[in-house]
Amino acid sequence: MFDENYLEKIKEKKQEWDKKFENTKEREIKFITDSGIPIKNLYTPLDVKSNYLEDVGFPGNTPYTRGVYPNMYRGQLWTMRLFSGHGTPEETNKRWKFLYSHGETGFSAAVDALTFNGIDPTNPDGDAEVGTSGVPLYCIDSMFALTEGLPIDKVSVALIVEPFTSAPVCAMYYNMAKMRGLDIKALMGTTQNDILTMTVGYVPYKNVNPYHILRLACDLIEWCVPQKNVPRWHPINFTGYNYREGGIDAIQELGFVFASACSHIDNLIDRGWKVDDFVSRLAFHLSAHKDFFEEIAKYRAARRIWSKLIKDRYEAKNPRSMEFRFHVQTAGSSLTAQSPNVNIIRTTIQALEAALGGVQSLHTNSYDEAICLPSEEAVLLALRTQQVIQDETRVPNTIDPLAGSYFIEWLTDELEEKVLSYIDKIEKVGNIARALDTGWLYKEMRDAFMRRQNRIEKGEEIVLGVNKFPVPYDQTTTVFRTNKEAVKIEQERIINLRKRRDNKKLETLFDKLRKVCEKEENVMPIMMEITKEGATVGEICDVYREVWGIWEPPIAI
Amino acid sequence: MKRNYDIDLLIEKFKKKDKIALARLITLVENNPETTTNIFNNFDSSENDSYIIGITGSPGVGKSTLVNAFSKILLENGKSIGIISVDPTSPFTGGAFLGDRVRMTDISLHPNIFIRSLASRGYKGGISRAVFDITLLYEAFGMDFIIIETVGVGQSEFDIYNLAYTTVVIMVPGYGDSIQIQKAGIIEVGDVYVVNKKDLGGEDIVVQMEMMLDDATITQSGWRAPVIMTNSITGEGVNSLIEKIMDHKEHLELSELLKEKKKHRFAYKIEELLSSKIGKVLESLISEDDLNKISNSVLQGKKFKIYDMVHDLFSNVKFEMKKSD
Amino acid sequence: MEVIFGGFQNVEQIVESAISEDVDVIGLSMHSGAHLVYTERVINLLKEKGVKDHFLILVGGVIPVMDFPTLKKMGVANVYGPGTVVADVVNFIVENTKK
Ligand code: B12
Ligand SMILES: Nc1nc2c(ncn2[C@@H]2O[C@H](COP(=O)(O)OP(=O)(O)OP(=O)(O)O)[C@@H](O)[C@H]2O)c(=O)[nH]1
Ligand SMILES: [Mg+2]
Repeated sequence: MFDENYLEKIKEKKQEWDKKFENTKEREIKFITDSGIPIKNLYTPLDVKSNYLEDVGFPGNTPYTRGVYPNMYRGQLWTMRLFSGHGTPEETNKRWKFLYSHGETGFSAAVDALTFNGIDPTNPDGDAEVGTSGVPLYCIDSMFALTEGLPIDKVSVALIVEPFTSAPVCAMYYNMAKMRGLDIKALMGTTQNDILTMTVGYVPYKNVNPYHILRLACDLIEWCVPQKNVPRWHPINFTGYNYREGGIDAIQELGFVFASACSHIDNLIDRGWKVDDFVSRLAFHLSAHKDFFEEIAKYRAARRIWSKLIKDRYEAKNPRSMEFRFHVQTAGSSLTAQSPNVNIIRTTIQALEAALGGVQSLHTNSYDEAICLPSEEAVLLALRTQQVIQDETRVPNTIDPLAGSYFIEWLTDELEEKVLSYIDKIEKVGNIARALDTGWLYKEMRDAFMRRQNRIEKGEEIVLGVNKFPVPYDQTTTVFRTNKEAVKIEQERIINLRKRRDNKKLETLFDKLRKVCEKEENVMPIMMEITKEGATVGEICDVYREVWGIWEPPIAI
Repeated sequence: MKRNYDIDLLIEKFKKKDKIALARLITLVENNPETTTNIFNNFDSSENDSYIIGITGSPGVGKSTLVNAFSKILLENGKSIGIISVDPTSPFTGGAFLGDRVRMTDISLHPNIFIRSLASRGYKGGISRAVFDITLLYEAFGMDFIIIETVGVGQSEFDIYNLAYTTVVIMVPGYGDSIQIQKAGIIEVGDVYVVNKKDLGGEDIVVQMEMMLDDATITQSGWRAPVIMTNSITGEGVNSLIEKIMDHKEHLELSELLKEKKKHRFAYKIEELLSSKIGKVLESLISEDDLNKISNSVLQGKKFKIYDMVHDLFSNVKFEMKKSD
Repeated sequence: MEVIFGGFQNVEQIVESAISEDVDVIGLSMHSGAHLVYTERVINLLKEKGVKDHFLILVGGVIPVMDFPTLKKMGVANVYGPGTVVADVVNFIVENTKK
């Protein structure tokens, strides 16, 4: 990026400075990034290898290093979207209204463990968890209750369900929207629909084989986007965040999401679609972790990698296909149950990373993260954290303000290179379904988790209040408890539904679903029919289990 | 914590088919071999004979999932089953993480099944000792079938096949398993071969296996091991696996080879008991000092005298059978 | 030390596994906010089978410190929240399983 002669001069001066530095004292720690990249004492123009026009360029132009829109926050600020759900759809609706009235600009449904595992509240295996970790959404009635009185035609909604249940849950949502008189062709929102979340993200309950999960994820993409049923929806959100939280580093995070995205693209290409038919609606969800600069460089590198990947590997023609759009969640795993107030500071810094990295949509964690689901007071502070950055700091005044920093540009290049070689490594194992089925990804996760845990236990990675200046668990934070009556309410809802619906008709529809599953056809059309008639998520997933069998993840020892 | 291991009480409950008692007796024979004699004295030889099936294969090929699938069918047919799942102990930590059970939650609550996990190392007397003793307990408990799952790596795992009457070897598509087939001499151990995860392919392995089995001179037993494909998740092929196992069982019974197998199972045990006895005798006769002396001299340039020195040491040892009067 | 990994099991299966494997320690890891309900169910079933005192019961995960006494009253030997050092757990087990 710099004139050769001038660089020579800088080099000379730098050598002089190096001598000076050698005579100083350095603290005895490892100067490395969170992902282990060694960091120099000083960065100068000598470190910047990238070429401005080709590798950095302008916002809104490929390779989008500086942002996917020409105007970025000068035009529109990122969406403030707090992941929330608890108790019942009615209570969650109240929480959403509360947040909306305080300035939230997008909704995001955290569903409970029953919903994303495809179990109905009437199942005795799950009854203790109805509404304890999210909102139960297992039938169309729940969708009406969730969105009652909310402007879902103007405000986008994220449904955080994974491929095992994304088809029925989305179908319920689309049916509800239609019945409310909305045109689903204009409906805005996102489904997480992420295969890795249900596999390496956590221990799933009676799930099906990755091969079928991948297909289910692609069914939703296909039906929404290239088949143009809900064309403005983001039918998938590759969720690096979730595995990052399981202990992997920034390089692995991007490696996982891109390898996963490629497997989905390949599946849709096999179905006969062209990349430009659908890729522009694929979205991402990344973490904002503890290493401030590395995270910012990560977002910039991600945009560049994606743009090049889509252009070079898939030969996309439409530049919109090459845009990397993403949601960020601050790192819950960096937050502690000891001195929870400190969590506000951690989250603020992480939110700033996202803002400086050009995020499209952001969730900030509440200070009670390591204790319970967010209380109203805590979640309001989390929203205010974003609002302080948006409205008071003037950070969004200019686009990609850290570009041109010798360090940031160098680190962006470095991450790009490392991520690309990590993607190669994954692809040697095969596509994402195979990397899962062989247990390879589990082992990567397990190893990374152990490394991080060891670093923390040895004090190499500092966690204030835990391994440095340790304090006891905080006794003063009020613990937010979800409604104990939720089980009863939800069981009643389902009993009423089963009485009301046409069970005869449903029987035939279930037979049809069974056939569709056996023939491996796209499940969405039948899902629209069957959920409209009142089929529940648990009943539908039982058909999956019956036809495809239950898959238990391999265990990494 | 109050841990109750009163043998008489446990035996009494065991005889009433109490699983808690079975579990605790297993703990005793596993951890305190010296209690075994006392425990086994409570049973006589009219006790039930179980049919023992061994399942082996590389890690992750689907052994546990398959055991789950075919146990389900056996249970539906009214059979009772005792399962022993052996997982490798980590050579690094000396600990073990026993994960087979997760695949069997489906059947674990059935009254006619009992599942026990075992780590392959760290038992006094070795893994095969513990497994053998558990099979005896299962037999006394009245199990129709005993299924032993082990990872097919390392000698200690193969040892267990001296106990099984029918050995099932499981493979999967890919992973270069075809090469391993030849290397591991796997062709000699299996009575039934399974290519699992047929949803991922595997026809090529079947063809290869069939060819190799044809080439191998038909064993004296007159049994040509069949190769079948399964998907243990959906249960496809599991019925024919059971059929093949039953065929093999019938073959053994008709040809009297079952007796041979049983004999082998006990002979193996007897040999093991003997060497452990002799080991104990030796321990009492030859001190650690004696052994240290030898190894020290070996290190001080007498390595070629190693045979002599051991021989000399033994010249003082005399084994004598006590005369019964 | 050998760990029997239970995965995602219901209360009956947990108790059944613990009995069949005749373990020394039952460790329950819970992050769903339903720890009070589950722990109580496990302990009640153990009592029903008359084996509660045979096991050392530990609970860990996202457990608010206010719930520690409640859990201990139920019969849990110790509770481990976020930030637990694994070695502390190991020491506690070693100390408390000496027969
Ligand atoms: C990481 C994380 C995730 C990751 C998991 C990634 C992975 N592969 O592991 C992801 C992003 C996928 C995730 C998803 C969800 N999560 Co989450 N997650 C967390 C988080 C941030 C950290 C948990 C963690 O792994 N910590 C690191 C480990 C080392 O610590 P630990 O689990 O506390 O374990 C230590 C001790 O507790 C103890 N311990 C734990 N278990 C045991 C067991 C025994 C026997 C012993 C002795 C000790 C012990 O020792 C450990 C070592 O120190 C917590 C919040 C927090 N900061 O704690 C939320 C949290 C647990 N998640 C929560 C929720 C709601 C979810 C979701 C259900 C959200 C949704 N609706 O979709 C999903 C679904 C996950 C699921 N249940 O299947 C809630 C639970 C709410 C509650 N308890 O009331 C929490 C508390 C966040 C919050 N406040 O909202 N999550
Ligand atoms: N695709 C597919 N996956 C299978 C099949 N059978 C088992 N699996 C999966 O393979 C993985 C390993 O299965 P296990 O049954 O634990 O294999 P194992 O051989 O017992 O493994 P170890 O005991 O760890 O050696 C799990 O994720 C299973 O769900 C099958 O037929 N097809
Ligand atoms: Mg197994």
